[in-house]
Amino acid sequence: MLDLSFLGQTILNGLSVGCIYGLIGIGFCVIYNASGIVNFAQGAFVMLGGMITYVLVSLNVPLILAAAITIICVALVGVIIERIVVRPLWDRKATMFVMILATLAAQIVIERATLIVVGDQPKSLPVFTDLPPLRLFGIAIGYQTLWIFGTSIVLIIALGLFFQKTLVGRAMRACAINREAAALQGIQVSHMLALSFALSAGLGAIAGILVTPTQFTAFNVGTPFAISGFIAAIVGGFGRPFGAFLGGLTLGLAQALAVYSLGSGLKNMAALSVLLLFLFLRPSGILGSAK
Amino acid sequence: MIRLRVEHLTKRFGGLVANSDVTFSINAAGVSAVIGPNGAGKTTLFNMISGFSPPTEGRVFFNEQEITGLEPEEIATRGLVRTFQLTQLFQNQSVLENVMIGRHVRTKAGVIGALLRPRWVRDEERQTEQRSHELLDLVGLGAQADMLASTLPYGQQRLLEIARAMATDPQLLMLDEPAAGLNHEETEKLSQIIRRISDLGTTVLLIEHDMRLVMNTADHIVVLNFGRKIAEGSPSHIQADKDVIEAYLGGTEMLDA
Amino acid sequence: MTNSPATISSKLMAALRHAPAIAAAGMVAYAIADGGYIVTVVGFGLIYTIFVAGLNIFMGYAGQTSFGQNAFAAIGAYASAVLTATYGWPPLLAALAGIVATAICAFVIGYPTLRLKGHYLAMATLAIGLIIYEVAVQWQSVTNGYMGISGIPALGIGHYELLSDRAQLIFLAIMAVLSLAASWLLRHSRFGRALVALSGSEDAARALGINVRQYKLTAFIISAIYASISGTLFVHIVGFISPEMIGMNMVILAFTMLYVGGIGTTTGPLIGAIVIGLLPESIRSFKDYQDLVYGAALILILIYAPGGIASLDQVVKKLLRTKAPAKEVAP
Ligand SMILES: Nc1ncnc2c1ncn2[C@@H]1O[C@H](COP(=O)(O)OP(=O)(O)O)[C@@H](O)[C@H]1O
Ligand SMILES: [Mg+2]
Repeated sequence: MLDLSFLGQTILNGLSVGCIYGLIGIGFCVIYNASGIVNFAQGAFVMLGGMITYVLVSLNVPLILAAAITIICVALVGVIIERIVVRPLWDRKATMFVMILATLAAQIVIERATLIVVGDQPKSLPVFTDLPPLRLFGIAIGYQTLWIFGTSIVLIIALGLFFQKTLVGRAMRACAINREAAALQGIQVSHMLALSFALSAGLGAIAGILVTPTQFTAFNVGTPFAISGFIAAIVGGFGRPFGAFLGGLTLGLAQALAVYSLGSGLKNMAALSVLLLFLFLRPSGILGSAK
Repeated sequence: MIRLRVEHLTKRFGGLVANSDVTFSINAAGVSAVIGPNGAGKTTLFNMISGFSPPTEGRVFFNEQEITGLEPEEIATRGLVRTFQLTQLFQNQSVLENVMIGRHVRTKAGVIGALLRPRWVRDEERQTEQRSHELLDLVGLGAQADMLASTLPYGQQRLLEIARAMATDPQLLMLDEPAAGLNHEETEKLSQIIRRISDLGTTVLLIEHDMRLVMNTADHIVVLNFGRKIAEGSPSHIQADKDVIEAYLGGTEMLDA
Repeated sequence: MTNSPATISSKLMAALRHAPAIAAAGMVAYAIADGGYIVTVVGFGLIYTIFVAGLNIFMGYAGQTSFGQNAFAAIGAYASAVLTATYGWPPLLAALAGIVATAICAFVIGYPTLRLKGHYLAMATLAIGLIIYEVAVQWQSVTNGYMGISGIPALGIGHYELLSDRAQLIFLAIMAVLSLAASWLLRHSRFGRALVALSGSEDAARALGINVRQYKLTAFIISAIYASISGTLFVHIVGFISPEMIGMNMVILAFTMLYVGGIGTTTGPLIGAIVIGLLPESIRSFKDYQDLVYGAALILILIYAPGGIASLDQVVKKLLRTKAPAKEVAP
């Protein structure tokens, strides 16, 4: 009985962190669909989300306000990366490899700059709602977990509406289907690129803010999160935002179960094994890739 | 002797039938051509023969041996080599090196040979270079050997691709629209080069739009329309064929060139 | 011999093309002669020259992608470290065992991985590098985890050991020269031509009878062997190995060197490794800034000078050409 509730707890925690992976994975898809670029700086957005919020909160800014300011700041960072790093290469029609390398380098620059500014000590945030966890069948459900689930669901519905109903969202989808045709219809493809970076950076920041109270953040958490997000996107079928979210849940669950049965040292190994398994056996993911 | 024989070749892309039940054979001697309007399925046919896209149905025989479903590199090694409708040169390499790469299947040196350079490897390298210069002379690019391939004008790029394919010493050379984008004078020169290649003993099969080139150069013509073979025969026979004239929308002006 | 201005300037250009490589070689010679602190820095640069030369064969010549070559440096490094420090093997035998193990691993890893394309290939290779890192951390009984392995003996055969800094540097220089010579020989051969062919167009290469998969895999294995050798040299020179030394930062550093020196050129790895190796020396006191500077340098190079220092002559040519008409209009 005790073991069973421990398993339940494991599954719950896995799904909760899976939501975070899913949000990051959606960020990959948003940029990929708008441009065909795989942005390896995605993890930096997540790290900055937690880190900037931490800095603001420690300056006594109320949490909600701090979070809002952070999301805007990180979205700006996204646009800056797009302008400074991605755009010149995009204009030169650089190879996919060069693009990946440049965004990976941008990730490292941001990471190291953060190290210099805030140091290498892990930081954390207070939970959003400071109440004792709810109990259900012996499983403790923390309020932060509810925040993660709730925010993720709201974000996914909002994104769905954005892509289906708004003009901008539809233009972005048109770019995803066929960039040349979209350009011929008068859609400013280059604006879409900047917008996709802003959107995906904002999503990454939200993921970072949500997850930091349950773990911690440090200058170097970006890369593992980026890889998990990428795996989520692959598992869901690259280029499918909703698939990426499902992929995130799958990955979170698989990871939690691996840790449950094999020990916590294998957390990263489990994720990387899931990645290789999908790459080798089913590269189009569970839903089939978008193109 | 029959160089190439295709039997009931069919290719479907989902619902679209790009080739349907195409059967013909090509003699070892002379120049043959596949003609037909845009989208008739000519390139698709080349892709099936050269192993780049396996046929949905049907079989391909090269020198009376079946090659259906073999990998392109294996087919090339046997002596069937094709060029592409859109030139696929190695743009960042010199003109000479492009042709030297073509010698791959006729040479043997591997990693160890490259590192230790025994006498036979040095001889092989020298012969590769010499043969490549000869082929450049054949297509009239001898003076451009050291230029970067990407810096050649378009017409010369097409000739370089032919020289590179010839470097494999092919028994059958398949050219996909070699005259596309060439001017009158260049087309004339191309026609001569193709004849010379044929005279040297290589079977040539070309896809062409330029009727002047086809009628002047080819001995045997296969006509495709909507993926089907609608006629086959000598140039004069084809020029008189009713179905062919119709397929070209009464385009007699194309045919009497 | 005519000495018209045209031939002189073309000779100058040819000299300019080789200037960076000559300068880098000069730096190595200076370090050997000087024997001071610079020896460590240049030695580090030479070890990386070998690693980057291998990367260059797979990426520069064959035009493929791998973010995981650190995995093979790690296998070479740990094989040497464990076999010599823990089991007392002679260094040369341990190095050979490491190379064989690396080649086998590269084959087993490369066979399924090189079927992938684009960002799938990029991510799969990145994952392989990360997995090896995790193995180095988690397989404590062999690797000693984060603590690493120390007490690795110096290189040597029998009683002859390379103990002095200068002897080690001369040995490293010989190894680097051999690596670059092998790279040059490979490039200018039937094998190297097949690699540049598949890099240019896989379809055209296949149409000419080149077995693209086989050549990619061979280039991958050769590149891994280079990495293994550099890993082995590293542990014997430093005497210590830990997972941090073979992580992602190694990959970024190597890419920066490759692009600074000039990807696809034979001497590019030497130029890049020496230049980037010396870079932190000028900003020694700011160790934290090191990776920041590498990353920023890499971005700038990718954007503004994708040909690296090796293409300096092209840049100069362009400058001269744009300046020439300006002179004509001047009174
Ligand atoms: N890979 C493919 N997938 C789907 N349709 C294709 C493909 N390749 C060719 N087609 C279609 O097959 C038909 C024949 O094309 P092609 O062989 O290129 O014609 P041609 O060379 O005679 O101009 C065209 O309708 C073309 O759109
Ligand atoms: Mg065609």
